[in-house]
Amino acid sequence: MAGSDKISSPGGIFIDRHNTLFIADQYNYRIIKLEYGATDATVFLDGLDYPADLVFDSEGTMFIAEKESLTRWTKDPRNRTVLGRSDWFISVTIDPKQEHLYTTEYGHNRVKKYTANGRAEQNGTEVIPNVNSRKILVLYVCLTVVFLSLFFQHGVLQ
Amino acid sequence: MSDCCVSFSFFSAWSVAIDRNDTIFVATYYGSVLEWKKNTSGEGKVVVDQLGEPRGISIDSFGTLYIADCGGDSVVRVLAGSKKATVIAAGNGIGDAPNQLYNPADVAFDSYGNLYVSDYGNSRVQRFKINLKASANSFESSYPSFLSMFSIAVIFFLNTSD
Repeated sequence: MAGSDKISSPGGIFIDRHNTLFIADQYNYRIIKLEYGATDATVFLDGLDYPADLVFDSEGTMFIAEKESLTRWTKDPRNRTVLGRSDWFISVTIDPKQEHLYTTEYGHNRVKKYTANGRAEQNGTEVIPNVNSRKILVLYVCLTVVFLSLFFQHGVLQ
Repeated sequence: MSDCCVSFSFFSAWSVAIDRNDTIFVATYYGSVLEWKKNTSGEGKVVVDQLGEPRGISIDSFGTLYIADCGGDSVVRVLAGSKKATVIAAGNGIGDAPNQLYNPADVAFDSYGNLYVSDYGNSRVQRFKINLKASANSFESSYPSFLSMFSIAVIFFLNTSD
């Protein structure tokens, strides 16, 4: 990278079939690229909205989980299409068949699915509406009850 | 800049991996990796739990899971069908030494089998050569004082030894 440019708290990384490393340099609003064997990384794409994660399909189409948009970038020319929207995407993954993208978001305990080659913006499907285990929820409720009852007991004895 | 182990909401799904049978693996905030077979969506089945905070997960063609354990500052591996997580990189406490990570966010492999780790807390990406016979290490999470985030992005060539 030119000058003293640095990456800052990188999010997702992806390695393509040419062993090129791509880094979601989210707080610098860009994707950084490092070719295999190279010593200098370059800015691959910038002007993004807190890109947290990225994937490529086998044809070189790129998908980025930006903060509020799941975007697709065709290979040549680099055209951007919004596939989906959220308050804040955390991650994006593509399935082995390269048909669907799976996303996670801050503040939502779900996994959503989008069609990778969809032409227009999609609502996406909630493939897992609630990731949380009921057992964990029960455990935390019980711990809260125990804590509150100890607190109450202590207060009464005073 | 937030520590990646602090979530907007107490419960969150961090990231997802899909295997060739369309089984969905999800790394959750509270330390578990859960799985759902194709076309199911009820209660997930626990693959591993008691990780520090599994963040990025990756799956290879054999179904082996590789997990960036943000809370454990390490990368762990879970063989397909197993419930045992083995540390294969770092896990030597928080730090920026070559054999340490600080809140790792994601993992990826190149075609030579080198492991790359997005080392969020150290603002760098690390490369590890994985010892195929990596033995199970026990590790403890330690949380020293907050470190400065700014450092140059470099790739380190490492041989891990156990």
